[in-house]
Amino acid sequence: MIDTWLLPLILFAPVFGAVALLFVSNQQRFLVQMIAAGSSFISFILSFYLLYAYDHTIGGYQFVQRFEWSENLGIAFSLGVDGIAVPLVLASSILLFTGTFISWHIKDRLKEFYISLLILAAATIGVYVSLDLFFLYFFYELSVLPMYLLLGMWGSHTKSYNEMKDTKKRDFVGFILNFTSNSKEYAAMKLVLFLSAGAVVALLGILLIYVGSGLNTFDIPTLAKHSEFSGTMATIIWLLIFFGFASIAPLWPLHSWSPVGHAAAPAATSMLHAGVLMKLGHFSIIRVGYEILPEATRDLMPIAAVLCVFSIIYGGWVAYSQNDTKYVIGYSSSSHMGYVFLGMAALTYVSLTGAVLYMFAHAMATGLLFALAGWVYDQTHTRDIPSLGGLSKKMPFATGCFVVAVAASFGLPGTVSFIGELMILLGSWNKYPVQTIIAVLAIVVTLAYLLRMLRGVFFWEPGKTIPHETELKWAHVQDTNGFVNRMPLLVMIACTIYFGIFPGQFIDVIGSSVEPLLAKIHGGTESGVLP
Amino acid sequence: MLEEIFFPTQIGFPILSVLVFLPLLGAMLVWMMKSDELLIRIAGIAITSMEFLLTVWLLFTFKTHTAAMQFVEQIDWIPAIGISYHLGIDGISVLFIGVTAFLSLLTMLFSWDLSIEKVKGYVMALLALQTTVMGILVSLDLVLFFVFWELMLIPSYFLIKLWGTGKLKEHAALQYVLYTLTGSMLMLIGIIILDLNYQEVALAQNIQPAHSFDFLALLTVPMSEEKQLLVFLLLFFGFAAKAPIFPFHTWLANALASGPIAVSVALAGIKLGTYGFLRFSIPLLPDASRTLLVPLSILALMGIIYGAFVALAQSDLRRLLAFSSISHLGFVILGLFALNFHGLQGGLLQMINLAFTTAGLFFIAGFLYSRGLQGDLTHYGGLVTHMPALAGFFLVIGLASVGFPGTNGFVGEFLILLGAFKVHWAFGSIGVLGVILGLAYIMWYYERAMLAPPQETVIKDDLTGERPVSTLRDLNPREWVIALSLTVMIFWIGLYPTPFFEIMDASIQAVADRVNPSTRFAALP
Amino acid sequence: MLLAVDAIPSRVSKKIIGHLSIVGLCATLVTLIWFYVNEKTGSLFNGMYVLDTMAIYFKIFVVVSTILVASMSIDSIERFPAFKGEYYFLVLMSALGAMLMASANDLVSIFVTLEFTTFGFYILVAYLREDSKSNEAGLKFFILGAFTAGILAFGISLIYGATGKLILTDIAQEIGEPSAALIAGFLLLFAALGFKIGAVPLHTWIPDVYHGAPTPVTAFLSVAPKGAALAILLRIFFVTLSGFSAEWVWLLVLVAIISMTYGNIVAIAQRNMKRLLAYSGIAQIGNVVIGLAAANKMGGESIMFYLWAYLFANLGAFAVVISVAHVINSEEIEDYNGLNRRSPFLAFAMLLFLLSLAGVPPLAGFIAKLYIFVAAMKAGLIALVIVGLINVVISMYYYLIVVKKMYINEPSDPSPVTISPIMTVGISVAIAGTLILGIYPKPFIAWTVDATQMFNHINFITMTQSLTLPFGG
Repeated sequence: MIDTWLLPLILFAPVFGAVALLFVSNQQRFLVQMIAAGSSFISFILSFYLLYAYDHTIGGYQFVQRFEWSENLGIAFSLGVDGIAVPLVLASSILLFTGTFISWHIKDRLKEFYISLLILAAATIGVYVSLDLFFLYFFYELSVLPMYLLLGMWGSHTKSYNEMKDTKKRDFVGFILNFTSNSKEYAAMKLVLFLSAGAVVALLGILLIYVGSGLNTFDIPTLAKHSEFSGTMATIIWLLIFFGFASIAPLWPLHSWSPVGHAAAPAATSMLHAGVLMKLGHFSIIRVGYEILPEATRDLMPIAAVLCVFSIIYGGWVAYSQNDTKYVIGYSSSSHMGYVFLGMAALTYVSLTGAVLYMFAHAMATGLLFALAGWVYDQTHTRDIPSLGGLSKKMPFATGCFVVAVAASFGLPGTVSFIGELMILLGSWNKYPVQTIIAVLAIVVTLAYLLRMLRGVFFWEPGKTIPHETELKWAHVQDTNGFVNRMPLLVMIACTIYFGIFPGQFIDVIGSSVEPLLAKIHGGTESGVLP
Repeated sequence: MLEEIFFPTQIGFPILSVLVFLPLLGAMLVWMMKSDELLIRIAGIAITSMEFLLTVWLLFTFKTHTAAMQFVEQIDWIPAIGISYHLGIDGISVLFIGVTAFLSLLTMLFSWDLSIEKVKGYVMALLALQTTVMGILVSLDLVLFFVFWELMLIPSYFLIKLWGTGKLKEHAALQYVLYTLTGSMLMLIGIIILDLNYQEVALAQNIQPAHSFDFLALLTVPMSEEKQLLVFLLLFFGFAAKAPIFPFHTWLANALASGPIAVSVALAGIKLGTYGFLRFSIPLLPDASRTLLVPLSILALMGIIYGAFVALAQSDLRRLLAFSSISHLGFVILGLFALNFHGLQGGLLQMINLAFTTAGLFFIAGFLYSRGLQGDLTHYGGLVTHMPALAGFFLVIGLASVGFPGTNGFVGEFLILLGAFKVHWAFGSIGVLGVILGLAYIMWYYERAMLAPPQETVIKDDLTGERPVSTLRDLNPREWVIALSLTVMIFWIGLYPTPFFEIMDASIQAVADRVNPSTRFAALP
Repeated sequence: MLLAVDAIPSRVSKKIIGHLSIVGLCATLVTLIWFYVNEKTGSLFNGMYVLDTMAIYFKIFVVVSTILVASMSIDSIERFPAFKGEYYFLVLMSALGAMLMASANDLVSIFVTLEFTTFGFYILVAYLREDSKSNEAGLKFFILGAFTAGILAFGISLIYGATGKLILTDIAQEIGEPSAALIAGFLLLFAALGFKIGAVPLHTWIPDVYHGAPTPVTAFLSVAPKGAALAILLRIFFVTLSGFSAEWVWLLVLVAIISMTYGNIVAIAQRNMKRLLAYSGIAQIGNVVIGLAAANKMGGESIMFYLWAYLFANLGAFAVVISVAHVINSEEIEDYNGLNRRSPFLAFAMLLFLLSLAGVPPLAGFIAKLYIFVAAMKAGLIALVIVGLINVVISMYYYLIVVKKMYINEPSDPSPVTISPIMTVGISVAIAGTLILGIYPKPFIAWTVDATQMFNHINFITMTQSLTLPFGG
C-alpha cells in the first residue's frame, strides 16, 4: 500500500503543505512553521524509506504509478524511480527538510517564503520521479518561478551594490550590467532568463523527440525502447538536450547565472539551488539524453569531457579570488559540477555511479556550507570575508560544522564526497587521464579557497589595535543554538558521514540502473561493466 | 601472495581495530565531558596509556620469523570497486605502532601542565591524530590507507593553527595542508592506476571482482615497467611531500617551528612518508624502484648534505631540528633505496630510531620552550649550569640522533651505510660525510647554547615576561620520566638491537626478495 | 431554436442589470452545454449559418468571456458618468454578434456578423465621453474599423466574382486553379480578420484603443471578438483553403513570427499596464497564428485550447487592473509596487495570470503553448517553433518585471487595496480556470478534439517529409 503511494506522497506532501499554507495567516507563525516542517518531514522520512525499499537486485523503474493525462497528446502522469533518481530524491527531501528549519527565523512574509520553498522542492522532486518527458519538463519549468520569488523577495544585495551611493547609477549598474555588484533583482532575473532559455532549448529537443519518434508518446521508457533516430537527427536532438539542460547544471560557459543567484539567495534557497536544482541538469541529461539517444551520447559526450575542465578550473580560480562567502561557495559548486560531468562523460560503470553518488554528496556538503554562510550572514549582516573574522569564539558549534562542511566539500575521506570523487576519478582515468589529473589537482585548489574562507570568517582576527576588538564587534552574534538551528546541520553532517562510511546501499542502488544504461550506450559489447 | 594470519587465531578480539578507534572513542568521550581541565588531561593520559598497554600486548603476541600479515581483519566496504576494510601488520609496521603509542603517551604526559587554551579541543585533536596515524599503519587496503592519510590533515591542521606557538602558525598550517594534499592527490591517481592495472589483469583472467585496492591482491598482478614508473612517481609525490624529502621540504621548517611540540613530535617523529615507501612503493613497484635507484639515492644524498648545511646555519633550535630531520630522512631514503637487505633493514631501524631521537629532541625543545627559552638560544650560553639534567639528556639524545656509537642511531646509520656501500662506494662515502656534518651541527649548537660562557642573563619571553636566567629550574619528575624513557630506548636499541631485528627481519627479507629476486642476503645476527 | 438561445434578457435598470445579465448569460451557457452534450447540430439558411460542434465551442467561449466581463464591469459601471444601463445592452449585443460570428459559414454572414459585433464596440470604446483618450480611441477604432469593413466587402466581392459561391464549403469545391482575383480576395479577407485579431501588421489600433477604452471594454475587446474572428479564420483556412496549405503557410508563418517578436519586444518598454497587456496580446495572437500555420487538425485543437488559456489569463489580468485602478486610480506599472503587501490576493492572482500568459507550468498557458508548439512541430515548422520558444523567454522578462514590482519592491503607499465580492468571484473563477486548465486539461483537450472533428480530413505535412528540409518552415 505504502509502495503504491510512495512517490505521489513524496512529491505531493510539499505541494499540499504549500496549499495548506495559503489558508493560514502570517500572524500564526508557529502554525506556518509547523505546516512547512510537517509536510517536508513526510517527504524526508519517505525518501529514506525509498532508498532502502528500492530493490537493487531487480533494478529498473520501481514504484511506478501511471495516470493517463491526455491520450490525445500521449501524455501520462507517470511516476517512477530508478537507481539514479533515488539518491537525488533523497537529497531533495533532505535539503527541503533542513532548509525549512534553516529558514525558521525569517521575519518577512514567512508563509509566502515557505510556499515558494515547498513548491521549489516539489518541482525538483517532480523532475526526478517523472517518467514522462512532458512532466519532466513541466516540473523543470515549475522550479524556475519560485526561485525568482525567493531570490527577489528574500534575497540580499551584494556588498558593492549596497555601497553604491548614487541611486540612479545603482539601479542601472545593479540591474543591467554588473556582476559582483549586482542587486538581488538582477540575480533573480538573470537566473530566470538563463534557466528559461536553457529550458526552451531542451524543450525543442524534447519536441523533436516526441514528433520525430512518431510514437505519439512522451513516455520515457517507451521512447527509450522503441524510438529510432537517424544520425544527424540524433545529433541535433542530443545537442539541444545537452546544452539545454547543461545550462542549469551549470556547465561552463553557461554557468554565470548560478553564482550570482547563490549570492543573492537566502540560505535555504541556495541550499536547494546548489544541492538539487543544479543536478536537474545532469539528471535530465542522463534521463533524456542517455536513455533515449544512447548512440549520440557515446559519440558526443566527449564535448562534456572538454568543457568540464573549464568548469573545474574556472570555477576554482574564481572562487579563490572572491571575497563574498556565497560567491565562493557558488563558484565552488559550479567547479564541482565539472566533476560530475567528467564522471558522466567517461561512461564507465564506476565513473557514472560515482557521478551520481557525488551529486548526492555535493548536495549535502554545499547544503551545509550555504546553511552556515546563511547563519553567519544573519548574525553579522555581511558576507564580506575581509569584514568578518574571529567568529570561532562566538560560534564554536557553527565553526565545527563549517569544518565538517569544508572537509565534505573537498572530499575528505570518511565523507560521502570522497567515495564519489574516488569513483569518478577511478572510472575516468582510462579514458580521460588529462582531465582526471586536472580534477585531482583542483581538489587542492578547492581546499585552498575553502580554508581561506574558513580562516577569514572564523579564525583570522585583524590587528589588535583596540583590545577586545572582535569581542566588541561581534557582541550580539550568537552561535547556532537550540534544536531548530542545530538539527538541520546535524542531519546533513550525519548523512555525509554515515553514507561516507556505509555507501553500500547507495552504490548498489545506483549501480543497478547505471549498468543496463551503459550496456545500452556501449551496445552491450565493450561495456566495461562489472557484474 | 603473502600469508595472512587472522586475528582470532592470535588474539581473541580485533585488536587492530581497537587500536585504531580507541583514541577516537576517547576523543568523543572527552568531547562530552564538561570542560574540567584536570579531568580532560587525566582522560587523555588514561586513553593513551591503555593504547600503549595494548600495544605492548600486541608486541608480545606478535610472531617473529615470519613475513606473514598478522592480526588480520577483513570486511567488505565498497565491494563494487573492490574496497575492503582490511587491516593487518607485519614486521615493518608493528614497530611503528609501538612507537606511535609510546610517543602519544609521552606527548600527553608532556602536555600535562602546559598552559593551553581550549584543552578539550587540544586533547581531542591529539587523540584524533593518533587514530589516523594508527589507521595509516595498519591499513592493507590502499583506499583505506588513503582515507586515514587524508584524515590526518584535519587534526594536524588545527593543532598547528590553533595551538601553534610561532607567529607563522596560520601560514604554516595552510602550507602544510596544501603541500601534503597536493602530494596525496597525485598519490590518489597512482592508487587508481594500480587498481586499473589490476582490473586489466582480472578481466583478462576472468577474476571476480575485477577491482581491488588490496595491497596483498595488488602484489599478485604483474605490471609493465612504464606503468610502474608512472605510479612510482605519483606515489612518490605523496610520500615525499609528507616525509618530507628534499626538495619537497619547504613546509616542514615552518610547521615544526610554528606548530605545537605535540605536532612536531608526531610529524617529525613518526616517519609516515618513508613508511609509505617501504610499505607500498618498493614491494608494489619493484622494477620501478630498481630503475630509479640511482636518482633517488642522489636525491637522498642531496637531502643529507643540504639538510645538514642548512642546519649548521640555524640559530633557532626547532628550525635546526627541522633541517636535521630532512638530513635524517635522506639517510632513511638512502638506505631504503639501496634495495638490499641491509639497506632496508637499516632504513627501517633508523625510522624507529628517529622516532626516539628526533621526537626526543623536540621534547627537549619543548622543555626549553616551557621555560621561556625559545627561538635563538645561542646567545644565552652556559645553560648547563642551571639545568644539568636537561643538558645531559639533550646531549645524549642529540648524539644518538647523529649516530654516535653505542646509541641506536649508530646501528641504524651503520646498516644504511653498509647497504649504500654495496650499491656504490661513492654513495656510502658521501653518506659518511653527512654523519660528520650531523655531528658538527648538533655539537656546535650544543656548545653555543649550553656550554659556552654565559652571555645573556635575562630571558625575554612573551609568556612569562622578563626574568633572570638564574631562575631556570631543572627537569621536574614528569619531564624526567619522558627523557629517561627515551634514553632507555636509545641505549636498548644501541646496545642490544636483536629483538628488534627479530621482529623485522622476515618481512624485510620478503621485501628484499621481491625487489631483488636473484640475490639473497643473510640476516645480520 | 438558435434565436431562443441568443435572446438575452436585458435593459432593466441600474446595477441589477449587471446581475441579471450575468444570470441570463449563465442560462445561455447551460443551454449551450446542453446542446453540446446532446449533440444538437444543424444549419440555417442553406448552410449560411451552422451550428456544429466548433460553433458551440466558440459560443461557449464567448459567453464565458462575457460573463466574466460583466462580472468585472459591475463596479466600474458605477463610476461611469452616464448610460449605465445601456452599457450592458451593448456588451450583450456585441457578445451576440460574436456568437453569431462563430456560426457564420458564408461570406455574407461573416460580413454581417462581424460588423454587428464591431458596432457595439464602436460605442463601448468611446463610452467615457468626458475622457479625451477614450474619445480618441473610439474615433481611431471607428475609422480603422470602417476601413476594414471596406476591405472585407471588397475581398468578399472578389471571391464571389471568382467563384460565384458564398458558402465556405462550396467555395472549397469551386477553387481549381486559384486566379489572381481569388488570391487577392482571400488576402483582403485575411487582412480584415487580421485587423480583428490584431495580428501584425494590422495591430496598430490595439495599444491606443486598449489604453483609451474603459478597462472592462478593453478586456472584452481583447477576448471575445478575437475568439470569434479566429473561428472564422479556422473555417476559411482549414475548410475552404485546406487544399492550398503549402501556399498560405508562408504568409501565416511570417505573420506569426512578426507578431510574436514585435509584440514581445515592444511590450518590454511599456510603462502602462494596459498597454503592456495590449502588446502582450499581440504576441499571444502570434502564438495562435502558429497553430493556424500548422495547418493540421492538431493546430486547430491547440488554437481552441489556447484561447481558453488566454481568456482566463487575460480577463483575469484585466480584472486585477480594474480592481487596482479603482483604489489607486492608476494603471501605471510603477504603481503596482508592493501590491503583494497591499493585497496579497490581487498580487497572487496577477502573478498567476501573467505567468500563465508567459507559459509557466502548472498554469494553462504552459499547456496551451506546448500544445501549439507540438502541433507546429508535427507540421514540420521547426523554425517557427524556435522563434516561438525564443519569444517565450523574452516575454518572461517583462512579465517578471511586473512580478518584481508587485512582490519585491516596497509600496509607496502601504494602504491595503480592497476589492468587491463580485470582483473576487470573477477573479477566482479566472484563477480556477487558469489552474484547472493547467493541471487537469484532459477533458478540455478531449473537448477541443471533439469540436474539431470537421478538420479530420486535412492531410497535413508529416514530420518525416518536412525534416528532410533542415529547419525548413
